Amino acid sequence: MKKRTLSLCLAAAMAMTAMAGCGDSNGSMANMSDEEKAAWEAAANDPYGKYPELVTYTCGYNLTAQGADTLAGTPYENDTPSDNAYTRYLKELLNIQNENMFEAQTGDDYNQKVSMAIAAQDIPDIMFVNDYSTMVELVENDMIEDLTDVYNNLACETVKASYESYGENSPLNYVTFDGKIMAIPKTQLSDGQDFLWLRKDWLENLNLEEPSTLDEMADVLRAFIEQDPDGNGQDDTIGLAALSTVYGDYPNNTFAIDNIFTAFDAYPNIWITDDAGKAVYGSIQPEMKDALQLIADWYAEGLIDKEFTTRTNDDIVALISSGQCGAYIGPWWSPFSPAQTASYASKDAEWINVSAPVGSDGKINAINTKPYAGFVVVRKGYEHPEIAMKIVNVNSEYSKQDKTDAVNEIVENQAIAYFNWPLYCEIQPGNEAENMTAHVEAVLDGSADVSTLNTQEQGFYESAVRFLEAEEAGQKADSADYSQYMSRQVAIHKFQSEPANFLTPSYLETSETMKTKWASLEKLELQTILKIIVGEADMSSFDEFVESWTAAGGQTITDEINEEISAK
Amino acid sequence: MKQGNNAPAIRRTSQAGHAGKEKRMFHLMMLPGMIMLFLFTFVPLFGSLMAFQNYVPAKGIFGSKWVGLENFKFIFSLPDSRQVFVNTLVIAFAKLVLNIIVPVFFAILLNEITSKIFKRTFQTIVYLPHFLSWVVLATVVTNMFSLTGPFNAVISAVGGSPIQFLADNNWFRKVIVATDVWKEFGYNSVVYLAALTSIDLGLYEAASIDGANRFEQTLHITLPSLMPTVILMTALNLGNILNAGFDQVFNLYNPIVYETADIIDTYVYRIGMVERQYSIGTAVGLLKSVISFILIMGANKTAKKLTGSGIF
Repeated sequence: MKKRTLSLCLAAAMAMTAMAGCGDSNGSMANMSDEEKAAWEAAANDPYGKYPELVTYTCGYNLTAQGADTLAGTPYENDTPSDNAYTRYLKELLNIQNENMFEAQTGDDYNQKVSMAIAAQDIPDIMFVNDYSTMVELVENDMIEDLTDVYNNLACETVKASYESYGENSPLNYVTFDGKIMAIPKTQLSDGQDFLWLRKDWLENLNLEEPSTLDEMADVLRAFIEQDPDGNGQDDTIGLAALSTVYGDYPNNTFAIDNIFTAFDAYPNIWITDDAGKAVYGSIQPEMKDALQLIADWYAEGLIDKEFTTRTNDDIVALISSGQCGAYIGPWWSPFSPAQTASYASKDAEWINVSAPVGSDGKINAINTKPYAGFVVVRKGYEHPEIAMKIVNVNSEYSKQDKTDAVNEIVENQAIAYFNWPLYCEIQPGNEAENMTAHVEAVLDGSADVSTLNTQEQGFYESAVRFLEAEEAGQKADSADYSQYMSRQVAIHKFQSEPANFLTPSYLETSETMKTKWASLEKLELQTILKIIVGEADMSSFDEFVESWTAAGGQTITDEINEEISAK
Repeated sequence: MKQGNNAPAIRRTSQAGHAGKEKRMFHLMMLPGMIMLFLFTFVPLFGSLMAFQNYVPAKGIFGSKWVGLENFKFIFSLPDSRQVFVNTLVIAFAKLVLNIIVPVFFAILLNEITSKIFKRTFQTIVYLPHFLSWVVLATVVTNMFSLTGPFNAVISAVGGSPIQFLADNNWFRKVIVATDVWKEFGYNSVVYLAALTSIDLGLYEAASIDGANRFEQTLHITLPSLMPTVILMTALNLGNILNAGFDQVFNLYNPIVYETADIIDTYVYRIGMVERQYSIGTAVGLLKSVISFILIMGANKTAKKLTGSGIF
């Protein structure tokens, strides 16, 4: 008896809410005059159109690690994720207001909330997702809206031009399914090529030239271990630092020695396109053998750290910052690593990034990274899918060009480290880092005025000035200024002056069989590669590895990937 | 034994009318604990269903496809599953045996010391490593066993050639077991020290009157008296035979020693890292639980047969 009443009540309640839901949306459109309708439509079809009435959308909110308490004592201390400088700006500009279905710290916490929302089949109207696989899952489960029209009608020039700057590796390729754009991809700035970072003071102590080829690099490393570069009278220096997994699981891993492989045109751990246009796995190509032979020889001679297999990242940082090691391969942001800042501050170390080892044409062979860094998706059936695009327009273009007080307030607010964007997505050209370096450089050499710099660039400029002044006065600069100047002005500068060849991987994601078989294939690969390098196995084991790799699922995965590529 | 004494007492009080209320109070006090147990131990058991599905978070347990024993078949079809299983057993078994022998030996030795200050100080020192996590200790161990560490310094001093202990398949497991025993023996010996204090001193007196020396007393009185505790501890620890110590191995191993170091947990961890493999992770967990359950039940039965007392 009781049970039945309860279920009846529930059913009634559900029917009520369902009807209420219908009534609401139908009613609002039905009761509108033609004028009002036209106003709504005009707003919806203008990249920066303001809605006649406040539109509330639900979203997932990315918080920063600092949290709101950093705002205490500032004019923004009463701000919340749904009422802050940026959301007020969006409300003023577009008449939209976010209502956060969940708020979580960006990264794992946020991703977990997204997963839970998907599992509960209840996602926000507009949401940022980090993983490609999550986005694909949403597409496959038909949970998100087709944004093709929204993108074509509303994307601003900056957004369109930024996507185009990636050329054939456009982020849009990754969100297009059957010709439909299903998400707005956030752009990932290019990481550029990795460099060989060397202790400049050691090179000078030993009267060495900057190396370029593999042979020259070997000579420098030999001198670093044999000729007491730090002049302390002790045989305590080691050669090239190397990651225990040799090339790491992604290009641009600090301490990974990918560049030695790529100098031989070997591209381990990524999918490349072979001469026949098929996707093949780089680690099993014959070019690997020459590279491995050389690395094994270097290891035997001690040119590569004898103990690299058992070192953690922290161990390597400790070796470098204590002045035992003066050579490693790393990306342009290496000066931010404590390995450099600590040795700069305490050991008088000076570092330099060198384009070595180069391939046969005298340039470093580098690998293009993913062009995307997350996706904005819109819930299937949401009335105003265009809001997503409009916010991205404001993030990427409008707010950058707007010089009003409201924007100053936003920038000031952001400088206090409280992240205030309701939608964590800015779209920039792939070479934005290079552009910024060039702008700052122009001001430094006097060919442009400080006022041409945007706020971020201005920060870089001020750091550079402080660093140069300190150096001039023969003092140590602040390590933050050191990092900023060395990476932004010295390292990135070489992207232009010493350009590299870039290879675009043919496949960047995880295929179905990879999900289950990759761990054992990876184990097989690493074991073989490491044993060859340390001399526990000879080169013939490489052929055995290729055979067993192919048999243990490698072939299946290769076929699968080729199918996936041709299906696109 | 104790239970046997108490049981009739409880029955007696419960017969009295007013004691029923009291009992209800006790049950009420237990309730939060029982709810916690139910929520965090029994409810998650429901999640074991994932082991028989191809679980997709977006579809949930009710929406995901049922695949029967597919996940278990997959685990056994993996090329490394045999190697990983053997590694786990070898490491866990060596740890199990040595983590009993060494603490018992240590407890007996410590018990022979008469100076209270020395005994207490020593006990505290050997306890210490137990409270440090492997994340911290791994750095210490790596440095101790590195080419420039103290062990290799000794080897070089006596004219041997240096060994990369942690990158050598002949040495890795030995280092793992030895460092684990070093970390835990102090803490593990507590139980045996307690057991030692409960041995009737009259036995020793009688033995010494009969002319038994210190060593004979240990052999014929101390060890047999410790036996029930040893068997009990063994039975309890058998449940862990498939846990070779994830945090220790994970923090110390590297790809070059995978063939001797890779254990079930590290392997599953890496499978999970590539893509969130909920179903396979659950299947392995369930498999481990079932095997541990069988082992514990078996060990308990054996212990009951041998010593007359079990855990339950």
